[in-house]
Order: sequence, then structure tokens, then C-alpha cells
Amino acid sequence: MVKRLLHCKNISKKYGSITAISKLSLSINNGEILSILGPSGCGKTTLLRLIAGLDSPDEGYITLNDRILVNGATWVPPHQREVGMVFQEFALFPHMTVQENIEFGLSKLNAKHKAFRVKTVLDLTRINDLKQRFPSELSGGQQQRVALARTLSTQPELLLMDEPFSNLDAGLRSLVREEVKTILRDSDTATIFVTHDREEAFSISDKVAIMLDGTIHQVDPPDKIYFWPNTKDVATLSGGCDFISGKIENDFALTSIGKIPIRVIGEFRNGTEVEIAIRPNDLAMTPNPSGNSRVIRKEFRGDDTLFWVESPSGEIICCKHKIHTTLFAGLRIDLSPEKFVKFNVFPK
Amino acid sequence: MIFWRSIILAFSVTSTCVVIAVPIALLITKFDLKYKRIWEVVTLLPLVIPSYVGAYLLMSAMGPKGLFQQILHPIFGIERMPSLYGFAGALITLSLLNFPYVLLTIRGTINQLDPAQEESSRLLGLNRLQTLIKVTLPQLRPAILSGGLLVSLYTLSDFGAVSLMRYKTFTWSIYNQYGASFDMNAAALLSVSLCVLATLVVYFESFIRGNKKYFNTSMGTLRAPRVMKLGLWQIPSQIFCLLLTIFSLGIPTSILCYWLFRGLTSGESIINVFESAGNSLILASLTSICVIAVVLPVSYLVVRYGGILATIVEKSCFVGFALPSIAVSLSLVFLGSRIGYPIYQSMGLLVFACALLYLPTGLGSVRSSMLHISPKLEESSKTLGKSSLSTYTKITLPLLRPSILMGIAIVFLVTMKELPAVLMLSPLDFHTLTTDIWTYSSEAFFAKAAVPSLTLLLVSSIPLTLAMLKSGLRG
Repeated sequence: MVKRLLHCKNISKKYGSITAISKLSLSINNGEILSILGPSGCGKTTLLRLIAGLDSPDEGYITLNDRILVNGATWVPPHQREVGMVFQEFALFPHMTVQENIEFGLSKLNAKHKAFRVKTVLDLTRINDLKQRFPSELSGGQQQRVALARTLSTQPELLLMDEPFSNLDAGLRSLVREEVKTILRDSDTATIFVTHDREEAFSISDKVAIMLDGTIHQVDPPDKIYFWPNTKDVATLSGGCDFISGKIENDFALTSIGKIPIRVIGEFRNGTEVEIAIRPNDLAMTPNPSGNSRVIRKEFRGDDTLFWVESPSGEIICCKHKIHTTLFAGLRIDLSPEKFVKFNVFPK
Repeated sequence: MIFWRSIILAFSVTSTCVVIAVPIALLITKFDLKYKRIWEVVTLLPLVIPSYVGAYLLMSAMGPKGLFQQILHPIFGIERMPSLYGFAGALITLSLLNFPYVLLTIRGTINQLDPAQEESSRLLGLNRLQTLIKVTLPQLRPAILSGGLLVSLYTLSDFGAVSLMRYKTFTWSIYNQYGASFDMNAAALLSVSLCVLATLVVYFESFIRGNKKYFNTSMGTLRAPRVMKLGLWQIPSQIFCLLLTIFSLGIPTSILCYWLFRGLTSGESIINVFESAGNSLILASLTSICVIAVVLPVSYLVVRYGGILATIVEKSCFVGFALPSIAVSLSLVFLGSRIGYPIYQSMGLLVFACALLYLPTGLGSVRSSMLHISPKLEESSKTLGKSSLSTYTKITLPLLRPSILMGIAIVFLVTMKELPAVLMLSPLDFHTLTTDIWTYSSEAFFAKAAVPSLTLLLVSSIPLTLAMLKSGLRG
């Protein structure tokens, strides 16, 4: 019983002469966690602000549960939208305690219901011990949880999160991310979540929307985004990626490093010039004194090592490998596709 | 020439105030000065002393046949003290009473500076003093300038002190033309010149300040700035603060008490100040309410929406800034007498004049703290289901409270002190504390002037002290 919750259709927004959003359409279903992944400046935050009602689009419409939030004629103000938002800076009210911050959105409830809701979100976010503190007395991770609790307490139909983990340090980030994911699952709240960090997007969400230049390029589950990118841009945004050129021949592409299997068959005619996306884990490296590729640089990363390899035609490909002692810069090697790997090709 | 006399006085008073206020502000905010809370309040209190009260106290104490001469005469046989009338008297009085304006603006800025900047400077190899001079002070320049601007405008428009000190400036001439010879044309001409002069000062200030934004207003670091140790300098600093307080606050109040005491013992009847005090309170309260009622929507409009309309509204609010009160009063007298009843000599017109004059004072305070409230806070309140109005009352207003209180306190205080507008615009038989003081002191009935003066000081220092304590160290 998947039901469509939010629907944005052909929305555009300009600030002066700058186009922030152009002809964008996007939907999200009940209970789904969707992340919007894109580089900074692509209009992600603007999109959230349009959905929350903090700004209004120049054209297009947005509906929530088939209720019109905004179109040419109607505009529902933010406080009547049932859309919650967690800001990048958390925006906790500095003059109120944690408890007062959480109660803030519940003034319409009677005391008993209010206490119950507060208790529920305090338990959910595990900040019961902090309720008498002021925001200035909290750490980043705690502020994050209070901000989330405050928004969840109003039981919004849709939750928006704007780069919610970017203000946390790296160690805390993955921990809080897991926690937030659990909290969102437990409360079954549909969430749109904006980030420029693909690991974050992949790990937290059911679906990822790739956004570039004010519009959505692809919406799919994380693995599909990674393995089946629609365009070169999506391929680049969804993971480390290098491109080499080649020619289609049946189920394969002919390239300077050899014949490699392609993923989508029949899309291009034989002989078509294409570009092939290579992920760092896609190619195996075999040392070979007469090999036609050459390692030009290596970078030790701990769990694995990154190698930059120059192909016979001079293209630079980045490869990941667990072993780092036997391979070094200057070594001649052979590159060959790893087992079962198929490659995405794009028109030139 | 009147023009140069006014300019020279304004320049000298402003420089003196800056020289006094900068070290005090630094001591209070940057160093571990002992009794900080006390100095914080006490160094602001000279603001409550009206310039003409300050002037008459100085005259009565230090004049050729003043109090000091009478004390010194039996011991040293001094017949006459050197004359303090004229430039020196006006300079001393106005500087001692107006330096807190510079103090206020500096302290408003100093706590917004990112402590990381000073720390970087130390790490780049500069010592504490170099850091203070090269990093901190340059960033305080806009604050010092705008404080100096306030002082120079108040000096230009000051009427009480210069006329009691018989230093002839624009305001003195305007009042003379109007009061003595009823020469409206000459008074109007002089007023216009004074306004032009004041506008030039405002322009000069914005010219040297430029439109640069010196300080970082990011909401990021909320770390308190590190306090530096005074060490051996603790005692000289305490002495500096103490001396300043003695001269700007201690001596004036003791002389007032002395006059009161002498009046009482010589059997002079204590004049009844209840009615005047009541009138002053009503006038000051009404003005503060009017000012805040305008300031709150205007500051919100200007900061949150901007645009041409907001800019026009804002600029027109600052008109009073450049207009000396005597010129505003005079023009309202013209206007009022043309229209006549019900406006002329009505309470409404008087409150309007005071509100117009002190609108910029209130607006400045509230607007700058409005600038520091992140719009994200209001937005998150809206996404939590609160309407715009309810967001304003629950989030914006509480966060603005310290600056609103401070704004009210200062507007209240300057209205309590206001003289020319009350003299020229008040309804018939409407006496305030200031007109009482003016009447008695210009006729040299010092003992009689003591009661209304002390009442004035007392009544105006209460809200200032309260606001200061409420707004805490953030100034």
C-alpha cells in the first residue's frame, strides 16, 4: 500500500537573474527516506525551502497527500503545511531549555497529550537527561538530536533535513547518522534529506535523487544509482569515476586496455564511439613487464590503496587495491575487468 | 564666528570622549578588571546628568567665587578662581557627561568580534599589546566613529551647557533670536545652517567609515572572548575608573547634595517637585512607548525584508539623528502656531517632537541586535506550526528583549533630560523637572535647583541600571 505523499511538478524558482530551480519534478511515498544528492549550489536547499513554504516557487505546483500546498493560485503558509524541517545549523531557540524547545510546536495540545508526546520523542532520541539544559550547554550531536526531537514531536507528515550532519565532526557523523536512521524508521516518518556527501546519501536512504543545476537527473534506490547511472553526470556524482573512450562491438566495448563487457546491451549500434565509466573497484591490476599500462602514482588510504594508472592511450584511471606493497609507481601492469563487473557506457 | 565655534567645540568634545571611553571599554570587556559589574553600570550613569545641570554644578563649584574658592579662601587666601566660563567649561562638562555614548557603541561591537581572530594574531607572532592595536582596535573603528558621531551631534545640538557657560554657538544664537527678539527669520536661518552642519557631520562619519563591514557576524562561534590579565596594572586601572567616576558622577551628586543641605539649613522652603516629576515621567514614558512602537516593526521590516520601501522608512527614521532638538522644536513651533488648536502647545506635539528626536537612538539599538537573530530561528518556528505573529512574539521578541530594554531606558533617559523641546513646545503651565532646573539655575538659585536635579538623576538612573543589569555583560 505505497501511497504518494509529496508531489512537486515542474517547479521553478529564480533569484534575480539566477535560476535556482528549473522545471523540477519529484515525488516521495509514505514512509520513504529520500536523499537529494548534489554539489553545493545546485539548488537543494532552495527546493527544501519551497516545500516547507519558506519561499514560494515562480511556477509549478506542490501537493502533499493530494492537498495543494502551492500553485499559481494557492499558497499554504509554512505553519499550516504539516511539514517539519531540521536546519543545517539546528536553529534551536537559545532562550528556551531543551524541553521548552520541544514543547514549542505543541501548544495546541492539552497538558496530558503534550507531556506524552514530549516523553515519546525524548525517549526516541534518547535525550531525557538533557531536557533541563539550554542549547548552549549541548554538544553538536546533542543539539542535532534535540532539533530532530523538536521537529518529530509535531508529527509532521513530511520531514525535511538540510545537510543535518555537516556541522558534526567526522567521527560523530556516522554514529549520529545511524541513530537518525533508526529514529526515522521507528517513527515511520517520510523524510527528504539533502546532502552533498554520497556515502551519507547511500547509507541513510531508500531512494537517492541526483540533483544538478536546479533539476533532478535521476531518482532511484542507492544501488541502482551507483550501478545504473543514466548520465555521465550521475555516474560522476554517485561515486568515484573515470571515463575512457571505446567503440561498441556486440556485448563489449573495445578500448585501449582491451575488450570489456558492457551493462546495457543493444542501446548502441556496433561501431558507435562511446565513453565508458570506470569505478575504482572495477579493474584488476596484474604486474607484467610487457604490460601496456603503467602505475604513475599511489596513495595509501589504510583499508585500501589508490593507484593512478595511465592507459596505453594516455587516459588516467583511478583503481583501488587492497595490496599496496607489490605495486608501486613506474611499474608496468595489465588492466583487466574484475569478475562479474559490467561497465556503463555513455554516448560521446 | 559661530560656525567655527560650534565645530571646534564638537570636535574637541568628541576627541576627549573617545580618549576617555576606549580605555574604559577595553578594561571592562577585555581585561580582568575587578568590580567589573559595578564599573559597567557606574560608567554609564553620567548619561543621566543633563548638560545644563552639569554646567551649573561646575559653575557653582569651580566658578570664580564658587564652592572651591570658598573652601580654599580661608586656607590659601585665594580671592578668585580662574574663570571656567566659555570654551573650557563647555568642553569639560560635555566630555564628562557624553563619553558613555562612545562606551555604549564600543561595547555593543566588541563582544561580537570573533575571539579566533585575536588568537590567530597571537599565533602569528604578535604580542597582546600589538594584537590589541593591530587587530582589535581597527575593528572597533566603526563603533568608535558612530559613538563619536552621536557625541558630536549631541554637542552641536546642546543648548543648556553652552548657554550656561556663555559659549556662543548655533543653538545659543537660535534661542536668543527666538526668545529675546522673536526674530523668526534669523532663528530659522540659523536653524537651517545648524541642520546643514549636522548633516555634514553625519556625511563625514559615513565617508571615513565607508561601507565596509568590519566584523564577522557569523553565528558560528559563541565562545566567550578570553579575558586578559591586568596584573600590576590592576591598581592604576582601578584608580582611572575611580577618578573618572568621581569627576563625572561623584562631584556632581555631592555638590547637589551640598546645595540641598545648604538650602535646607538656611531655611529655604523645599519646592514641590511632585508635579514636575510626574510630568517628566509621563512625557518620558509616552515618548519611550511611541518610539518602541515604531522601532519594533521598522527594525523587523528593514532587517528581514529590505527593499526600497524599507530603506526609505529607515532613512526617514534617522532624520531626527541629524536634526538638533532646538531646530526640530522651532520648526514644530512654526507648524503648531500656523495650525493652532488643537496642536499648538499640546502634549501630543511635545511627545511627537521627542519621539522624532530620539527615534534613531532606539532604532539603532534594536536594529543591530535584530541583525544578529538568525532568520533560521524564525523559519523553524514557522515549520513547527507557528504563524508569523506568534513566531514574532515567542521567538523574536524574547531574543530582542535586552536591546529593547536598553533602548527604552536610553530613550526614557534622554527624554527626561530634554530641555529645548520642552521649553518651546510644552503646553502652558506644564512644568517638568528640566524646566524647573532651568528656571532656577539660570537665575542662580542653585539651592532651589538641587531638588529637581537630584530627583531627575534618581528617576532616570533606575531604568538605566535595571536595563544594564538585565542585558548582562553583553552590553
